[in-house]
Amino acid sequence: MRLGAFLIGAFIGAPTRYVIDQYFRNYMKFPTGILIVNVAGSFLLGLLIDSQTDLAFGLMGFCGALTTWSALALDLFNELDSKEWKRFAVNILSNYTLGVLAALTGLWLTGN
Amino acid sequence: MKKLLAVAVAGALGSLVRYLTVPKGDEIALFAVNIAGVVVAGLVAFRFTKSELLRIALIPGFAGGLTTFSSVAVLHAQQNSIKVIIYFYLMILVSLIALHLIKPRVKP
Repeated sequence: MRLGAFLIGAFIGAPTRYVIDQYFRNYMKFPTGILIVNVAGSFLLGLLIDSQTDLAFGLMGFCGALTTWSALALDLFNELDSKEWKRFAVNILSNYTLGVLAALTGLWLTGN
Repeated sequence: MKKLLAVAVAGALGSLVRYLTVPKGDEIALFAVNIAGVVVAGLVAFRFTKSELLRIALIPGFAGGLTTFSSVAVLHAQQNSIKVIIYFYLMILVSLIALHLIKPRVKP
């Protein structure tokens, strides 16, 4: 049951990320969509990390698939490869800072 | 629609692999699965693929679902030590080195 909920969440989370990422890539050079999904997913996971309900497991599946490490790594690599130092720095620092802050906020709101 | 379904199915499959291989809170397994996803994404991204659908299924789909950022951020937020900062940036560094090693080897 838990695994089922997790998989349904992932089944929704991955295409949600894809749509948001594509939307921003159409008119922005900075990978804004990946930053948004990573921060949003980190906040949501922070909120529900200690929950044991099926809904929470579904949402954990959603957060895991909504957020991504591979796209962030590919973007960072391509930015280095094309010597876009500033974009590389902003990308790495914004994902790191805002992602951790979002997770902290989620944990804090639920008293963790 | 076909693309979205490919991302959904492959993303769920990638997440299933992560679910089965990364116990909750296991930092080493989480590190390994994220690097594995970067390797998959790199192998596909740097290689010419005729099928756009397969590319989408494997990069934002499978690799995107296999890897995760939220667990890393929460793990970081739960711990209050210099170790987690090193953990994060080491994962970035290993990811970039992996892609650097893959790129010249798979180019068509």
